[in-house]
Amino acid sequence: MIEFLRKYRWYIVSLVLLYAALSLWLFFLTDSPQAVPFGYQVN
Amino acid sequence: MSVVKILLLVFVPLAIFLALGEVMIRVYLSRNTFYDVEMSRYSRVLKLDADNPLIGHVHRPEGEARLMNVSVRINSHGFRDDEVSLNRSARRRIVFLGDSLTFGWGVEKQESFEHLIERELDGRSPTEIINFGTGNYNTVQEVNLFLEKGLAYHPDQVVLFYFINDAEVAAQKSRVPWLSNVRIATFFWSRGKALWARISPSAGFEAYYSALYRDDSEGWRNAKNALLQLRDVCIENGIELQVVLLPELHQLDPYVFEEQHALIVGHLERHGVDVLDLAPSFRNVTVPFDLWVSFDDAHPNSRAHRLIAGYTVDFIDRVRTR
Repeated sequence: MIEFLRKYRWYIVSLVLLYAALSLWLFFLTDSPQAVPFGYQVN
Repeated sequence: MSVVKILLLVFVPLAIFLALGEVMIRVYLSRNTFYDVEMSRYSRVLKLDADNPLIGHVHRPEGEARLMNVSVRINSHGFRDDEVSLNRSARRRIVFLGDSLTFGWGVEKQESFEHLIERELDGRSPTEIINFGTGNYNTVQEVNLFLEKGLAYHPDQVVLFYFINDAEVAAQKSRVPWLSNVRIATFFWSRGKALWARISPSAGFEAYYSALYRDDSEGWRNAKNALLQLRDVCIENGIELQVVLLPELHQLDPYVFEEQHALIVGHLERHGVDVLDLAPSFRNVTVPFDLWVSFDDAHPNSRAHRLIAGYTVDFIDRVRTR
């Protein structure tokens, strides 16, 4: 496993950064006053 | 390349991202609130399954939590209220039925309209109010909670606070409740809904709430029947019944759900139920957002609770004085 991580570290780091960028984009894009119905979880 | 290696290349970055994201969101939430996370915490910390499927869930007796930066304490009977005996005193007794707005979501107990109205009425004539408000209830659940627990308190009066989403059918329980502990899952669920509402107007609050009141809507049909059931029970037991319609706080002038409120008022008036629609009283509010609990939560804040109390107290008190 260590060997695997070492071999593909830049691929893994790039993909994690891509996911993080997409998450930040979603966060800022939807950071606006509530526009959806009240959502909730029953239990 | 082997299948195992391909799977590792897909899932290892994802697992690292989710783990780091979970940590970062928890750090963010240590200084900020996030409505959907707070609702998940409310569900997990303060709710229990009810034996009666028509009620669905009840509060955990003597539960305590800090939600939306306010303290919430549930009494031994399962209400966000002071301890109250089933036995009557000489004070006039009123039961408030409702959902999260009546519960006082996002405001301290002493800032809630229930508390403000009780203080005002008690000053005029000895009065106590018992707050049955429970988050995420619809009208069917509110009425059934009253049938199961409320009659035992022998109230003189019942006031049901109706909100536009009370005509929803009861939500299904999550099949993966443990996910509510995972903040990053809640984040993507919540922000995914918000993104979808931008893409598809039918997912927004206006279209969604309006659709609840179509002729073929099961939830609206159930709500109407539950209101009539409550009226009949109150008549049988000599209890005065009133209904107050609370405004939805996105757009108040012109009020975006005027047509739906007219349907609800019409139904109640046709069946002899005393009703007060508060939406017209809120038309003078030029910036509705000023009445919200927070940016991502359109529940009424303490200022809105003061307005609700002020506009409602005489309506409730007229039962005593007539």
